[in-house]
Amino acid sequence: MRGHTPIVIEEFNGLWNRGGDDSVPLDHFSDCNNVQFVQSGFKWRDGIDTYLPVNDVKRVYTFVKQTGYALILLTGSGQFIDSDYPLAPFLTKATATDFGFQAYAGRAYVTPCDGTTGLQSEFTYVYLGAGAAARKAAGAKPTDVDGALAAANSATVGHVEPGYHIFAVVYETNTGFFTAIGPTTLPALIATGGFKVDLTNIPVSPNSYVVKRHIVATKAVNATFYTGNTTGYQFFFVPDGEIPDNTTTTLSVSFFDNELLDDASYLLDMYEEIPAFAGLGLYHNRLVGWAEFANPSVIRVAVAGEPEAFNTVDGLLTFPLDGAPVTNVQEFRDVMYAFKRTKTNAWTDSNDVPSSWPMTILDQGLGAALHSIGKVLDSEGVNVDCFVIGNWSGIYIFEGMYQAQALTWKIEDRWTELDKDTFNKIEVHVDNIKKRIYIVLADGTMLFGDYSNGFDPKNIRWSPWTFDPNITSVTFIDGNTLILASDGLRA
Amino acid sequence: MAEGAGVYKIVDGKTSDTIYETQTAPIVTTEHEKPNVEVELYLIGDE
Repeated sequence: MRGHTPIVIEEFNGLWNRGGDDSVPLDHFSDCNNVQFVQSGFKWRDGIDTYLPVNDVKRVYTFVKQTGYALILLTGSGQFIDSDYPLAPFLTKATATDFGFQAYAGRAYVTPCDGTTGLQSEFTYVYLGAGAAARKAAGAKPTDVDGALAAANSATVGHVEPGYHIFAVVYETNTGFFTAIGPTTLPALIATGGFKVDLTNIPVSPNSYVVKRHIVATKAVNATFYTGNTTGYQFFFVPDGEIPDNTTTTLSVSFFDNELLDDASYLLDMYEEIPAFAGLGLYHNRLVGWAEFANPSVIRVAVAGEPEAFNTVDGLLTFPLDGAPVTNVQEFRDVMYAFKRTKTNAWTDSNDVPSSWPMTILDQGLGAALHSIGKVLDSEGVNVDCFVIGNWSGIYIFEGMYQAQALTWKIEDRWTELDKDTFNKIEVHVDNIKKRIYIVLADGTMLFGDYSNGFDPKNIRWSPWTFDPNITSVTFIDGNTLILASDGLRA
Repeated sequence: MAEGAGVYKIVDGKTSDTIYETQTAPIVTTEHEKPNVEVELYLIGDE
């Protein structure tokens, strides 16, 4: 090459896969694999080491417990395994190929799905994190079989005011869930005034997870206007009406009507078994589930602080129907964003029931896939006041609206070649400490993005990563140690 | 257990995969067919 001046490349900016080889800038690679980047150069990626010998792992999440963390794994045979207790699954659902997960107060809520919707005739489960079998979340309300609740005026002086009072019972489970009001037949007592009320035959739950019971009652109803509809009045928790066991069957209560302050009416329509969803998330301290089998466009929202309390009547939102299921839900700046494959809408909590929340149509061309909202370390996806979303068009930064240019602009040809039918297998994770994005692709390989030079389409540096094991899912532990799950060798 | 199945972790600075020694070797290609351009690659860090 006599007579020519060499060009020294000072920077290596990763893969360029957009247009032909002639269009590759000098400081990019037309092809590369297993590369990671240092300040002005590159080296091969860090190696992997065995972490846990579990067979055929399809999905993994980090479960942050009260003390420490564990991995929650789903195997190809439908076994849900806690890595702290790897010898026995805490739940088995043979037809589950994927699952949604949400940790809440040291408990794990898991919902089996097929990667599109929740499984048919299946439910959301709660796992307490100590190795014992998971059970269906929520719980059955008191029934007449549990105890035919009766109420009578006591001979003991008290404060119950004259008029009709209807009494009922609510079970409290070991996860703090308050069941619907029961039993089916509720006693309506005409109180004479000035005495206590003696309750007998208080229902006892056959379920061992019921640890407390609560007495609820209506305020005095004028006998002239009493309709006889025992569930047609507002119920309140009775002061000192808590029974701290599941065995006692009698209790005397005494209360003025103006002591009935804690409304229990919202419990009348609670789900006793929560349907299985495609995924679970949180918004305003409410558990959110989306895309159940029978209603793929419905998003169900629990009562704040009570993750198992889903109201069957008004605890839901409906994403406008288009034949496709809801794929994801993410809280950001006090707004709940919900996604389908190519659509994004937003809801805001109006401090009323979820069904009354106003909806804003945000984007009719860009959406998200089931696992493609970038999780930041072991948490949900918001970081640096934005989050990262993968969809059919690319990987986007979302700040309340999508940035015009995708982070994958430099590798757009590679991204658009991905099979759109398998986007529900794509996972996106963000390591904000090392400034990296890890993307698990449906073919068992990964895409690695390094944004230490800038979190924008120009400065991010990409490289494919391949492993002999077929990578199905990844997560973080210990801050930003990347964990990779595999179901076998890659074909 | 199926060969290769399991849970792995990335180890900072590790230059090979424990079981599959050759898998982390990087592949890098630059193709510039424009005439009169010579590319000198400087590999910084691990070889």
